[in-house]
Amino acid sequence: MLPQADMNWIKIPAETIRQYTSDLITKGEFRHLSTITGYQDGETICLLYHFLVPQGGLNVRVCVPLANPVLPSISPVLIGAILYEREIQDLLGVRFEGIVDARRVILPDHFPQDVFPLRKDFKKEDLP
Amino acid sequence: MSEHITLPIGPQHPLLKEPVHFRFTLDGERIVDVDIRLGYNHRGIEKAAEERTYIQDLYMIERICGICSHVHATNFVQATEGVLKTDVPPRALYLRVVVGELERIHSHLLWLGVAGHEIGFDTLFQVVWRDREIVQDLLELITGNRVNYGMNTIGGVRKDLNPAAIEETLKGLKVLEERTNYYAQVVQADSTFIARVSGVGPLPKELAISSCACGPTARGSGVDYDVRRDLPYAAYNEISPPTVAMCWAAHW
Amino acid sequence: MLPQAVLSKIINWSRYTSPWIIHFNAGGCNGCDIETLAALTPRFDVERFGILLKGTPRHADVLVVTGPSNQQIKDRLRRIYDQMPHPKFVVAVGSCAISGGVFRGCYNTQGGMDEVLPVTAYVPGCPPRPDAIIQGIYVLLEKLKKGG
Repeated sequence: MLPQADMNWIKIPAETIRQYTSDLITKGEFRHLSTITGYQDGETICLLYHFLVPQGGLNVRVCVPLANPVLPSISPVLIGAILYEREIQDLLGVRFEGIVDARRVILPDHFPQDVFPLRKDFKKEDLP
Repeated sequence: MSEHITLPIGPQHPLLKEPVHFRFTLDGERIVDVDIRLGYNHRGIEKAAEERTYIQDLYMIERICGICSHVHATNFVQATEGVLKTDVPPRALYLRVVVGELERIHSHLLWLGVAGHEIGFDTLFQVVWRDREIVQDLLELITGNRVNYGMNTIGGVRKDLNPAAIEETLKGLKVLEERTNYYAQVVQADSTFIARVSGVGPLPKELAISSCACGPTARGSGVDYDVRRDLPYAAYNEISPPTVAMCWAAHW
Repeated sequence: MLPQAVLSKIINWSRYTSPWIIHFNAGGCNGCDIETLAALTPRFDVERFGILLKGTPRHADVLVVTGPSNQQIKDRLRRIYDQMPHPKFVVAVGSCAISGGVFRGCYNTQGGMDEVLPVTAYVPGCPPRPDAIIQGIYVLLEKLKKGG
């Protein structure tokens, strides 16, 4: 059996994600956040929050424009999301407003600050 | 005002098995901040996976981690099968579970040994790793490899299990069960072991949930969570593995 | 005072009967590292060759290094190598340490350990079995025995 069988997928506006997460927690439905994944789709960057709720998996998709990839951080309401958000910040260049700790974590120290490896225009030949 | 001390650990440190760098900020004995730098170990697998074919990716993704390689490969093939809407034979799903469970046993024994080593109980390390060779032999018997098994492929598994191997596996598991029960008894009875670990870095249940802890870490804090039961994959929906949510609160 | 020839014979003898190793993962997947550790445990027991695992490069004669090495770690790797007392040897364990292995071509990895360090022995495999790692160290010891 594929795990996709008991998965639910929803899409919400990016600016509501913090409220959505905090509602899940106050309603007592939140059990676990597996990870946050992200990908670039043309001129937008989409993030997927993989929650576990009593009914099964809940995948929440939010999209932000590539030109201005900013959305509220959920780390003030869910401290465990920090590492996921910092990883996305490093690799996709998404900015999380209100993130508890915004330091670089994944990329090497010498890596240029404005280059994001998982964007489609990234070329490893351009690296110094 | 208290004086803060910065304590760098890594990338080369006898405690670390991987090259990571932690920069702890201490206020006396209390850790007030930590800066984690993983760039020493960053390879760029995510980008490489975009550039390669699905089959090449499978073998690369298996090498994300040499300890839990089957899990990563299973994830990848399941995602790919989901995209392709491929049906996987039930026997293949069960074989994925068999290898996954054997891998889980080897991984738990590995960390039990390493935990013994880190607290200066090297006898435990040596003895546990001796018994870990039993499960390594079984993995080699079934998949042909001790680490990075190469068992999964898109749409199924690459090797079947013959009756002789099943018999051998059951025999090995019996020994392992006996030994594991013995270790459980040792670590719960040994007063020096308990004195060394009890009350050290306890993770309260609420913090375990809000920091998204999973697996044995979460269950050790009393969180009743097991992905095999709560979000079953492969054949886990038909076997419902026993889950132990245990907490050493008595020792805190 | 012993004559120089006898002295150097004794030094060489002690060198190949008790080489102390330091083990360093330079950005690998951990597969080779657990196999290296397994080589130290009772089934394989590399200590019967007098090999002892040390925690600091300053006590070590042999650097057992795994992983493809990357842009950030290469300076640290070089520093660890420089901290080891002479004479020192490097054993590159695993496909990654030989050529970059499956990670060759990733943006943060290099094409093998010999871009950073002078390697004496290579142990192929992904990961090599503990027996293969022991064989690699044994080959190195044989080389030392001959005074090479």
